[in-house]
Amino acid sequence: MKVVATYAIKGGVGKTTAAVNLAALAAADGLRTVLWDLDPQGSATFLFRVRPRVRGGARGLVRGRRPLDEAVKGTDVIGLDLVPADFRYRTLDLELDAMRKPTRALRRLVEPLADEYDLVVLDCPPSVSLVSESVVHAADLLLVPLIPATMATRSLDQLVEFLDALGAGGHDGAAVRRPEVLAFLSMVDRRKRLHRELAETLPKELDTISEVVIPALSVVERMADERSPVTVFAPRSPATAAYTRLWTEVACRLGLLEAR
Amino acid sequence: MSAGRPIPPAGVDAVRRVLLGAGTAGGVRITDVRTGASRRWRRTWLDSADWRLHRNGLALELHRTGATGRLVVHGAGAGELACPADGVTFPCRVAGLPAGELRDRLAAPLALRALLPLTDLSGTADDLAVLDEREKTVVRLTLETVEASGDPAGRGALRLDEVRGYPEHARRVTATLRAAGFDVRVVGDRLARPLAEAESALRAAGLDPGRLPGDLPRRIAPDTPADRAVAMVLSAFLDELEAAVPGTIADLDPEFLHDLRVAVRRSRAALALAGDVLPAVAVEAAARELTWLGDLTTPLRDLDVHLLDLPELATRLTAFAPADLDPLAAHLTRHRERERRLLVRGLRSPRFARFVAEWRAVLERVAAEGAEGTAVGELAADRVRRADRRFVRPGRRITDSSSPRHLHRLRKRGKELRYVLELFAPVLDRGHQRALVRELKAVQDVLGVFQDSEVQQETISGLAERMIAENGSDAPVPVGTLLAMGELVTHLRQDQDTARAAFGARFAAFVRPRVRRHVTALTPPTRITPPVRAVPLTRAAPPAGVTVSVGDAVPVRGVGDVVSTGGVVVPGDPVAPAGSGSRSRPVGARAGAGSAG
Ligand SMILES: Nc1ncnc2c1ncn2[C@@H]1O[C@H](COP(=O)(O)OP(=O)(O)OP(=O)(O)O)[C@@H](O)[C@H]1O
Ligand SMILES: [Mg+2]
Repeated sequence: MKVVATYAIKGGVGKTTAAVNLAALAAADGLRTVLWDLDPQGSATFLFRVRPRVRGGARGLVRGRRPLDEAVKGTDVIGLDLVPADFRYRTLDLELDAMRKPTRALRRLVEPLADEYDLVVLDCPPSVSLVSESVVHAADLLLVPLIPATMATRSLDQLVEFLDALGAGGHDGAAVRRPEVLAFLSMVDRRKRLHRELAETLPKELDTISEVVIPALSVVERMADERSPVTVFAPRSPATAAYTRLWTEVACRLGLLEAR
Repeated sequence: MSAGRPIPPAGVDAVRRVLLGAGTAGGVRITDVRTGASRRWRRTWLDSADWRLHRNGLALELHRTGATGRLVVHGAGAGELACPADGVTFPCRVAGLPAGELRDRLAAPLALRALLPLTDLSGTADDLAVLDEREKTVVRLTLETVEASGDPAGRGALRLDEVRGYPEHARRVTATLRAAGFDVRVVGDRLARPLAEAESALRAAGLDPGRLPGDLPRRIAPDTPADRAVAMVLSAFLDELEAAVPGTIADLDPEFLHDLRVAVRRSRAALALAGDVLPAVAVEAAARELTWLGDLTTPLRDLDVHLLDLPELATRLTAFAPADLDPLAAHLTRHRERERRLLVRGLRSPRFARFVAEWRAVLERVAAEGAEGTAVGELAADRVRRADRRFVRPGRRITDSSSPRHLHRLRKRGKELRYVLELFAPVLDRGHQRALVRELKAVQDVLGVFQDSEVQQETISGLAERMIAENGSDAPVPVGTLLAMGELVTHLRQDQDTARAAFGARFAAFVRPRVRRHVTALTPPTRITPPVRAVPLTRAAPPAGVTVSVGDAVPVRGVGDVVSTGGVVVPGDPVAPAGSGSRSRPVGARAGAGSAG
């Protein structure tokens, strides 16, 4: 079982959109996949028409009173399950903080899913916090959307610094696992010169940045109305093509699919 | 579905109507039922000729929808496994299946056996999604309609796939549809449903899952006239023999030939041990043809056994590499092709067809009209007693200094006893019979290893000489190959010594009082009168120059070591000449099927 987390310090950069589409593509490839919506706002949960409620809330989960697999719901995408968001995840930080080894908590919760799933996708809320430390420790790969802007790589630099700092010791003093980092340019508008240029140059400058670019497309925005991954309702769209390329890269890095 | 329930109208619309009319209950609301495209499907059930999957609680299906195929295996405690089946054609051996979990699961039960298509069903499938108030799919249904299934309204069965996290919805949908008379099968009931479905599909096709052609008739009772009973048993063996012929000719797997030989061996043993209750001339003719069949099949079986054993033997090499034996495998494979052609010619010959037809006619007549004075129960007790005595007496005389010949001969006597116990199994007490067979097998196993390893040593030495002779000086046999073969001989010699050392204790266990009790129970006192032949012979005439008189001892094979004991003819070995593939299966022995080895 591999764990991928979409992760960014900034909000509204395309984390949830990437998480949902990659999870749907993984399921279509026959991987038993579960998406955990860690964002109390629950965009992914809304998208899959699932009630944003987990029995016992954050406390029940973290304290291990309710195993994670009891919270799992099947989605309309065959092969893809969801752990819904819960408004009470707002307190997840507090709950984690109350534990002995908070950084390890998420990984411990996810591990029992290994029998049932080949891939776990974590969709994270935008912030640097204890949840994030825990996410970093749980993930095999951090998938980081970047909006093309002059300062774009700065947030990536910040993230790498953060990871290095965690390696030396996290919030609870224990060293945190260092996941692989894969950034990609998100919502690239071909009509903008700056976007075109950065999409061209950045992947060459930094090898943590993927060659795959996700363009800004109105069909992606339609996901909220369709309540479905774009790869499902518009399988032949350029958006699906772009997410498929991104999924292939992620899967190869994780050794989930043979190189195609 | 039990009687008295309303019969629903056909099709997808009926399912929708029932579900949408259900209203809200227990917090579960169904707002819509969405229908998908209609698909055609075809399902083929597969198993080996001897039902190995069925016997292991498995059902293997090939599902075809449009151009794609999927293999699905159900059962035996581990749920369901599936894999794509594109490009796989049946019959097919395990190695021909796509690599993966499903293949791994089938490998052990199937061993060498080929998968054969047994029967298939086809029809249409319609997907339905049941939606809740958020218009989310909470239950998936598939309406499967079977063609030509005698299902009057064509209403088919509903497969229900629970969506994880929505158990209440699944319960409610199941209950609603069942109340309306639909046949709902919950996919989670993985063990019961597909196995029952496979069973009924196979029975509908006239097959009897799990039953082998050589299984003894269930109709035989202790008071059945002996000649009828023996004829029925021999008919079953003839069925077994015939059933193995097409697979042997097509060379689907090596087990068909093995089955054929088992049928021949069992038939010969039955004739030798109880043939005196049947018409003598017919018995004589059948025995001759069975001997011919035994000889006809021996060379190919020997080569099969060597080829099958080779990989295992090769793993035991220490001083040499397995690859050193490749020239030996190539030599054996070449010879196998030639022997196979000869065997196929024999099985397609008029002689074989005539034997089967005439022997079948005789057995059917006796089974229908026989009226032998002795009841088969009495005959059984008499024959078990004699066979046991013939095994135990010489066995007791064997010491550490006895020659190998004595052990080989004792093994033959053990086989006779085993055959008698199997032959008369329908009229013997099951518990005692099984217990005695088990105890006997423990002795026979060491005797088997003792003899087989000796035979293999000789065979390998013989093969080495033949390879040298055939290869000549232009392409000499590699020295490494010859030395590796020499090492194999050494290992086999060690096996033989180990078996020799183990014999004493095993035999002592067989003659201990607890085991004697089984023999006593199986052999109540009998008064066997000399058999009276009640059926006049019509078809099979004695061969020229041979006059057979009623009650004569009929030699089954060879003359030298025929021993006549009060009307029972016991040839030295009704089985096969020493070293002629007389061993039971080397790999993947048929579980539980009383192969007479
Ligand atoms: N490639 C794209 N083209 C056009 N619109 C996009 C694209 N990717 C995302 N969007 C839109 O941008 C908005 C934010 O996207 P998304 O929710 O995926 O970001 P996020 O990083 O998960 O946000 P948050 O930080 O709030 O969780 C959404 O309305 C989404 O439809
Ligand atoms: Mg989000």
